[in-house]
Amino acid sequence: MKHTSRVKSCAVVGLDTVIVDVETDFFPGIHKFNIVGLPDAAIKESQQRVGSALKNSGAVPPYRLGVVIVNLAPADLRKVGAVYDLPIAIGILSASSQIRSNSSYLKDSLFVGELALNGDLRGVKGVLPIALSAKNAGYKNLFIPEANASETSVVKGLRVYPVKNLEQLMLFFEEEKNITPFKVFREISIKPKYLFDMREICGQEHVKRAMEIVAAGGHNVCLIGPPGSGKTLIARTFPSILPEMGLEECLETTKIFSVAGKLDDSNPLVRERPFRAPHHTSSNIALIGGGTNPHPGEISLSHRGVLFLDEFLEFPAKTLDCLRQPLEDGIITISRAAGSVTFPARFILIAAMNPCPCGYATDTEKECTCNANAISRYQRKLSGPICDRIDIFVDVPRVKYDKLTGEGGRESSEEIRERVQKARDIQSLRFKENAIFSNAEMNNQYIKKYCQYGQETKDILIEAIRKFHLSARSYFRTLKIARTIADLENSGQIETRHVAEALQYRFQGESLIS
Amino acid sequence: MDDSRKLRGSFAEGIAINFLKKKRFKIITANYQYRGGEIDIIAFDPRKKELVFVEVRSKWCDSLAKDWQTMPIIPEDSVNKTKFHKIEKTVWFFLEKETVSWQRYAGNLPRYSFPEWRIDLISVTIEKYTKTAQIRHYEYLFF
Repeated sequence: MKHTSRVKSCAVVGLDTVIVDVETDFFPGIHKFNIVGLPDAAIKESQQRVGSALKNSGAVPPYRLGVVIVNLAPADLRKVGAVYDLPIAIGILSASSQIRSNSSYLKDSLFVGELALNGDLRGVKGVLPIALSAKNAGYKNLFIPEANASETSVVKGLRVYPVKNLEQLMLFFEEEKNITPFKVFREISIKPKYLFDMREICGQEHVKRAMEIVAAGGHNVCLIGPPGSGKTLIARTFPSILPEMGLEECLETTKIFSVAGKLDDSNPLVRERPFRAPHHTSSNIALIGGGTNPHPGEISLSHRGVLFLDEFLEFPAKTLDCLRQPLEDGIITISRAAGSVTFPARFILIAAMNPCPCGYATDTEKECTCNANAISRYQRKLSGPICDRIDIFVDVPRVKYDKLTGEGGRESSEEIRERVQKARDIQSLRFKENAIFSNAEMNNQYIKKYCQYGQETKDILIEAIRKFHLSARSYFRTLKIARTIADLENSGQIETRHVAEALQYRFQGESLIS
Repeated sequence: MDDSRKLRGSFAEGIAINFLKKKRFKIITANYQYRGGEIDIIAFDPRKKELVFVEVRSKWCDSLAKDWQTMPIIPEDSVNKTKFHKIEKTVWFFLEKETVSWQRYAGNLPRYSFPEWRIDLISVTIEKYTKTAQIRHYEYLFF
């Protein structure tokens, strides 16, 4: 009689997955339970959980089976987390013929789940990537804890069985009692909810206009202004004018949230664009991701959404410089001794800062108490490379009293969002054949191709380059913004007024203060 | 150790000895003690030509289950690494001190060489009232 069995499970490495074979063998003798295949402490401890869970589910526990060996293949991949409890339990049941080992379910199913001592299944992290890869690898069934079932609601073509406890699953294999597969594809009809609306913001019309351009082109933006001028409120309102996420984008974001364990039953699918506002004391690792078993950081959690860095210059210079590559590439590769993983990190950066240490350098009413030296030292924290990656700089001035109390004539987020959506549609049509989505992602080659302008506009640009000493990079950046402004007006060619507006948004450096 | 446990132990050892005799093992000695260590049964397996040191573990039970795997407590549960090493130490004492007794079965060997040997476990579960026993024999105990 053969005492071996093979059950499939799945390991999550970064956002990718690897199918793991859980092989079980046992032979008579004094009880020993060995798990091999580079398990971590959580998996080594799983033998206790599996033992108790099997006993309490009415099965013969492993400590009555003699020597039990469980092998997690591939052997050279480090296995992490408690997801292997369920496959190990099923492997033991199948090897000891307590469930029918020739059942076709064992061959084309993946098992994932953490066991409680009484045999109940607990939710695990990263179920969505597992479900997606199970579908792609051609598996028919996926057995997961009931708590995670809603996460898989977007995966079509895969039977997902939400399992309550081990006993239920054992009965299922004996076909005494069926588990109804999770009703898989649920139409995404839930509309995103926004906490703030642009209507609530008094005055600051030019800032709202700049934010509209930012949203339309996916540019990065830096808001500069005195304390209390509304930088933070504007940033928090920003997600409400971003276009809604498509299914593809939703999946990308949800995958990251699934791996980070930030999904629950109430929001199984991330519908709102994420808005992350880490504090300026956050460490590099917290921001870009990392750890022994690399986990996504704030920049990955804000993928397809907004990363808001308030008090931008209070962040340590090193932390800010960590953002250089992800801002450029839209991905972050984290390398550790255990291996390297790549997380997506395409976000819109909103940085908010004061112009000087006291904050009132650009203010029209309150006197700035900083000396020129302190101001230049303060602004020098913004390193050139980071500065280069921020397309739009906006001055956010103090709001006057009459504006604060005035009412009416303000646009709601929805109206702005419609215009933004139109501009995005134009862009997605334009970049259909290129691997980019928005104007901000254009490189010089694309800029030359798509940013056409007439003679009059050319004259203005030449004049601007001469007068403002624009570098080559600033020149291209201006064109990028002009392209977005033109898109907002549904204009095929970049006109003079577009360039003129774009020129306002360049970094004015210390001249801000004068 | 209270009397009832002692009694159960010797009762189980008797059962184990009979069991081994039925298997045509030659019993050399029982309850060999040296420096605090004890070996319950020392026997010779003529088929494999090995000295066998047997540890007997026993338990009372109210009723024997047909399928022993479903029983809540079995004698095997009480074997552990420490006990095993204690037995192993005593085995070496026996092999060095009691050359004469094992040479009768394993034959004369050159000095400093020892016969093949192994440690076995015999688990005896005895039903309290009918005094029927269930025996399981594990060869080559190792931790």
